[in-house]
Amino acid sequence: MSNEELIARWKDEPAPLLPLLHAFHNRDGWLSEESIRAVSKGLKIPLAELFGTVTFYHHFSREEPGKSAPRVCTGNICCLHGGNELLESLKSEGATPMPCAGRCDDMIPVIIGDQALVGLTKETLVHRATPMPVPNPGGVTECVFSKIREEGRATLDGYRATGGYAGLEKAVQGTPQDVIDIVTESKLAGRGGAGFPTGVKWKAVADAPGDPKCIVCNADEGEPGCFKDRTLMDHDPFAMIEGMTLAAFATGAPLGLIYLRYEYPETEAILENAIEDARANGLLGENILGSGFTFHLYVRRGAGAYICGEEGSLLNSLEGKHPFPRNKPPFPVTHGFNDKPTAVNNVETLASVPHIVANGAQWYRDLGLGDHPGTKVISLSGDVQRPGNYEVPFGLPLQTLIHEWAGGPPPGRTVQAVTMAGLSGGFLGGENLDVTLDDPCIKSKGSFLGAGGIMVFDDSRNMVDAAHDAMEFYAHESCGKCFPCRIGTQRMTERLNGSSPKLSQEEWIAEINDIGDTMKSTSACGLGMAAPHVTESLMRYFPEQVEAHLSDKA
Amino acid sequence: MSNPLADMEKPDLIFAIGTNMTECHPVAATRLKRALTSGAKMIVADPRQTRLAKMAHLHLPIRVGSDVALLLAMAHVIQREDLINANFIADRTAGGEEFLEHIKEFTPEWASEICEVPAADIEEAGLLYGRGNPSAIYYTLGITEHICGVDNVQSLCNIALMTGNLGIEGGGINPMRGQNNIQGAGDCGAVPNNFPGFQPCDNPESTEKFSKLYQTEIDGVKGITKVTALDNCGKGIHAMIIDGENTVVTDPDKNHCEHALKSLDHLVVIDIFMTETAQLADVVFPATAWGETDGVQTNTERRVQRLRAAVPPVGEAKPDWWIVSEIAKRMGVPGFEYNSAKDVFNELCELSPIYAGLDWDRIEDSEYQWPVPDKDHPGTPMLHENEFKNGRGKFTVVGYRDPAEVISDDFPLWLTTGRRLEAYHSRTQTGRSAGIEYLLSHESLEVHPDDAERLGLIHGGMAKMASARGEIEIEVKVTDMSPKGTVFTSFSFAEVPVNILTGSGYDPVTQTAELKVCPVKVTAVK
Amino acid sequence: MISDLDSQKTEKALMLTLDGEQVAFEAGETIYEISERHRREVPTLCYDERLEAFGACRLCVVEVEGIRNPVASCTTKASEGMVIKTKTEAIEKHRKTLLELVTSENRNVDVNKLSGYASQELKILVDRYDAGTGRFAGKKSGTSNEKDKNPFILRDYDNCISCYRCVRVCAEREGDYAINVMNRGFNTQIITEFENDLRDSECTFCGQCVQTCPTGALGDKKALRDADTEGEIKKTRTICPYCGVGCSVDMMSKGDKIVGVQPAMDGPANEGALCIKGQFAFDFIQNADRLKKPMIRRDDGELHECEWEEALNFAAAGFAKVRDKFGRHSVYGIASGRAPHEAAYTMQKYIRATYGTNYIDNCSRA
Repeated sequence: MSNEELIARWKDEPAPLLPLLHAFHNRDGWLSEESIRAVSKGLKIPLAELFGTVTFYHHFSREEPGKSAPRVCTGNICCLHGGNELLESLKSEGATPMPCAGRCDDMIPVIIGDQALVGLTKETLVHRATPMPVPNPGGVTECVFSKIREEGRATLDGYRATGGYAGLEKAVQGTPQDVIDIVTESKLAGRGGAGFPTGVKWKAVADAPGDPKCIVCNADEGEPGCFKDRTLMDHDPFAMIEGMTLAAFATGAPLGLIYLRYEYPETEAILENAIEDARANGLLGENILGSGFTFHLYVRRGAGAYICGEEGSLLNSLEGKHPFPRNKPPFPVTHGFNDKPTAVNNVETLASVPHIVANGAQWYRDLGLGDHPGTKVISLSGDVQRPGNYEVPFGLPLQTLIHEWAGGPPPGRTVQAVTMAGLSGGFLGGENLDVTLDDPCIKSKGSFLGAGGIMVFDDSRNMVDAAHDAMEFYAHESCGKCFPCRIGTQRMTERLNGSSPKLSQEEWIAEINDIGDTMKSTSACGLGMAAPHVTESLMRYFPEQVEAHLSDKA
Repeated sequence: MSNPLADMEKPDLIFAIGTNMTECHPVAATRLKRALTSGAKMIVADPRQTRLAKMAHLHLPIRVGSDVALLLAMAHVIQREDLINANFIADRTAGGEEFLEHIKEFTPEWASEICEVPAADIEEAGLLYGRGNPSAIYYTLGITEHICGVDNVQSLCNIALMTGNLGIEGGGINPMRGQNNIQGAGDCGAVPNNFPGFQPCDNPESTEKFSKLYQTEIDGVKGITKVTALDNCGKGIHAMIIDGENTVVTDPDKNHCEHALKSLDHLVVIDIFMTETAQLADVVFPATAWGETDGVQTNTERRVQRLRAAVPPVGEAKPDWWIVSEIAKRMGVPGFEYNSAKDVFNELCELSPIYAGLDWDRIEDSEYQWPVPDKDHPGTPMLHENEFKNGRGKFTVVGYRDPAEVISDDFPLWLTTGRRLEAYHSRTQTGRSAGIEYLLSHESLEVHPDDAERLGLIHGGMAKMASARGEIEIEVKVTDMSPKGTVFTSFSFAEVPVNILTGSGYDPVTQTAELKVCPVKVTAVK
Repeated sequence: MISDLDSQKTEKALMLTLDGEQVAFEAGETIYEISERHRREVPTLCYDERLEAFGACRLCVVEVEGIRNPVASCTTKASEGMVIKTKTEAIEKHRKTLLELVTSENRNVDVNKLSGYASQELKILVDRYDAGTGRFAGKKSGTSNEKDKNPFILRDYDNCISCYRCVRVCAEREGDYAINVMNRGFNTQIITEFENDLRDSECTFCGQCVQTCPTGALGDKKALRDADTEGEIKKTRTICPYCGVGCSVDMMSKGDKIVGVQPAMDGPANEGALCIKGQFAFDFIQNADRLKKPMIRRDDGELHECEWEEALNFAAAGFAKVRDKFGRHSVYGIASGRAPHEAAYTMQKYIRATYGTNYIDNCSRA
């Protein structure tokens, strides 16, 4: 298609910048100066601003061969599996590294064009579906995974045949407030990691003035070691779509946007097809299920920026702005997409809702152990025999998950440490491995469960290296807006890889502590606040490894 | 300006006509840009696709000199769609009935033929302006430098009056003054029709007042304008004193001007450089420049502000007021015994009703906009708030007239002239400031690509441009900034004395030259 | 009744506690604005009161009771009953750490004052917090743009701290959107589109970016020509001599030499803005071409320099002669729209008082 045709196709759509840039990127394999000029003119975005925004995203190529050049995951887990070596072997084909691509339960992902391949060597790369979660090893009742393994669940017919859309059908008989009430009573809270009560958020959007309201699904699963949303979307896409539709009904939002990370190209196709099927069957669009309510849903693909999982950045990205986080307040519930009231929810949160509406709030609350309501999908990876996604009841002991459900570390090894919240919760080690999987417990250890990514490191691993890789990731993904994060992540990385000037142990520790304290206290968003967890926990659990690192340097 | 500069951030609808504001009044334009950011809409009527035009929601690239037709048709639409402010017309204006009857025949289709823009766009302009709440008009010399300059301004007044967009915040009619103290020159009475403070020369009371103050009998009639004076050089006018103006370069019909000044018996020029005009003088006085001079100037929003000397003058340069006073004293004229700029300004305040509340010390902080009729008055940021100066706002019935010269087989292209961001007037100042040449080293003629192709002109090549008065050579710049059939250049470069060509006519009322329209012929130079 | 109650409520002053002191504030005010009003000297680097608060430098963080982390005072609106501490030991420690971090990425904190209006901001804070400690050493950020040869704006990004005031002033105040930020994190770099020179971008060389830069990374190249000129910088408030907008400026001089111009942030017409002419086209004043002495045309037909007395007498005699020969309607005066009031006033007075005519005009007709 010509420049003009592409612009005409997208310019009047909601959140047009990303899809239009992708359209040019797909057409040419890269974003040429001419393309960027055309987009600037077509969408009336100042050229310098657009250029700056394009350079923000990791995956937009501004030179050939661009899009078709392999991108090899060098995330923390893939590095344990030889990611750097695979990258080296593909260098002749123009390969570049990419941060964790959200497939830590599989071999190393390599994205070429719009295919995500996996393999351990250049010669054995294969294209295959996202791993399906194994049947629940604990035999406990699940919520979001309860139907995911059913045959045909990813098709509309299969979804409906397995109870799908029962929740929506029930909901449209009642009032939006009924939906908000049931979600509130279920105590469902944000599964992307922030843990904000979903019902309260929806109520705030429903009550906020301003139209059109919007439901945004945060499917920018960028946290290293997290790959649950991919599984949910690939194998049970309608659950999330139904969840969004219920959110729309509850809040009165006619518009929905799914912000999907770049690294899940197959997922984009799955979602687009699912949305089309739902639309064709009266489950999206105008007059859904004959109830007179309207909800238009669109997929918007990111382009490689961890920070776009932060809701302010995500909204700026959708709006075609530079994806810096926004200052809060105001919050998205009143000033979200295009400054209108917006509910931003994680995939897992939304996928839970149809089950909750269909089965009741009490049912959901009772899924958790003890006082902890509900379930959480944990993405478990690293040095365990059976990495994968496990839906656990809140309150399950971590050791049970690692050793009983996932087979424990490789034979002859012991667990030295785990990460929490992907990387954001830092490490747990020593006796603090004896936690239960719920926030009250984990927070008492100075960490948090977050999106539920847990990476396991056995006793053969160098934890300073692990901390360095984590900090390097943060430095790579820091947006560059606030000073403590922009400079702090860089300085921490330098101190973990030994590239900083020579420091005494006392100086090193004082610098790390001072930077960490200031980052935690003054950073503008969660990235900068979370990153010091890595160094803090490193020094807390592995002081002898830190000492060795410093004496090596000396 | 009827409204303060700060109001430029407040309109709902901006109608910019005949103003290349981002280049000529860049800082004022930043306010319009902020208004746009906060949601204002903008119509730009300008033959060229200026930067301002690119920001507009509606750009009307009207043919040069067709403004009255556009404005009549917009008024027609405003009335037809009942977007008039009937209360305002009834309470505050005069002549509305006749005007509203008059515009009935001037449809957008009629204007479309003259303006060479689609009738639908004219229709939309009328609707946008009529619906804006408030709508503000901004214009510059693109409106006034025509033989119908007064008609243009009156046409703008008409649409502002019929919609009640005067005397309200964020609205008004706002001419942007092109020179730092051109407003002040008028305030001070350096015009043939008014004494200081716009006290009319043909008013016997004023004449008596100033005759007494100046201890001589002053004519009770208006003087002649500069244009007439130049025409009469050697035939009635035999001596001139010119302060700080490079008449030969900036005025139309350069050859005529030069000839006029040469035919004087006595020419005295006060300036800071040896300009083309100073070279013709019998006496040249070196004046102090900006930064060397204490004084006062009034900006486009009537704000009276102090200039302060930062450094001593170069050489033996003296303040203009001192030079003029010394000449007067040597001719035995009383009343020029000033010791400082402060003395002069305070005398002005004493005899000018619009400055009556001001003096040298009170304007220390730039806080007053005239009129300031007494010491307790806070100044007047907005004119016409509750009443017009002469009671009611008068509608004027105007009709469209062709420019003084129109294109023909001999001169088939419209030439229009203007300024560029980096240069000021005849570049006596910007041309002597380091670095400007990095951005703008020479002048060129902007030609639409289709015209260039038809005329065999190449980008960067030379062309000969001729009008009925003369011809010049100029480099060609092929660009779609200029519409088809119209070429543009500035008057800033002495090497490209475009005012050899201009000067086809003058507004009969103000005698402002039609610098914006000049039929020309452009041919390639091999 | 209800509306009466409402109006009473809004009339009641909003109050909060600022460092133990009860202070009133207006709805919509930020903590920073209130703190400034009460002279708390909260430090900032990314703040420019003309711009939307951005919240990047985090130096302005303050403690608010009931909120776990310190909040950026510039982006946080005050609310009734807030208890704020602007200067606790912990807060001051964070500020010092932040300044040490900034210093660690910068090659030079001490820049010439001629660089720009705000160019000393970083230096002043580093001194105030004694933050030039050399801690946190590591890679430097930003790369100076040596390629752009424009004669006005120094682009020494070695000293850039990524506060984006330049980007924001260009967008929010000037409306040119000529510059933006490329890349992210520690690799951020201020650029034009495609990293072109400013001349090839939307830049109009208004200089606003230069004047808001708190580190001198962007500098006034013309003023910096006089970096080594002897003498203190003297600033004289005056008005720009170009168009009719009437922008307030501070003319900078060292001794008898004019070295540069800075916009007046409190100028009513411009509020800190200027254009290329007002900002950079000032050096015509002390140009070698200036007329330094009066000149008269002598018998050889050429203009010759002479003393004032002779020239004034010559001018006066010439007018007297013409008047005597052709009558009082034979002399015409043209005042300048460029010179101050005093010039125009004396000129019209000269014509009217000397000749009794209104044969006076100015250059507004062309």
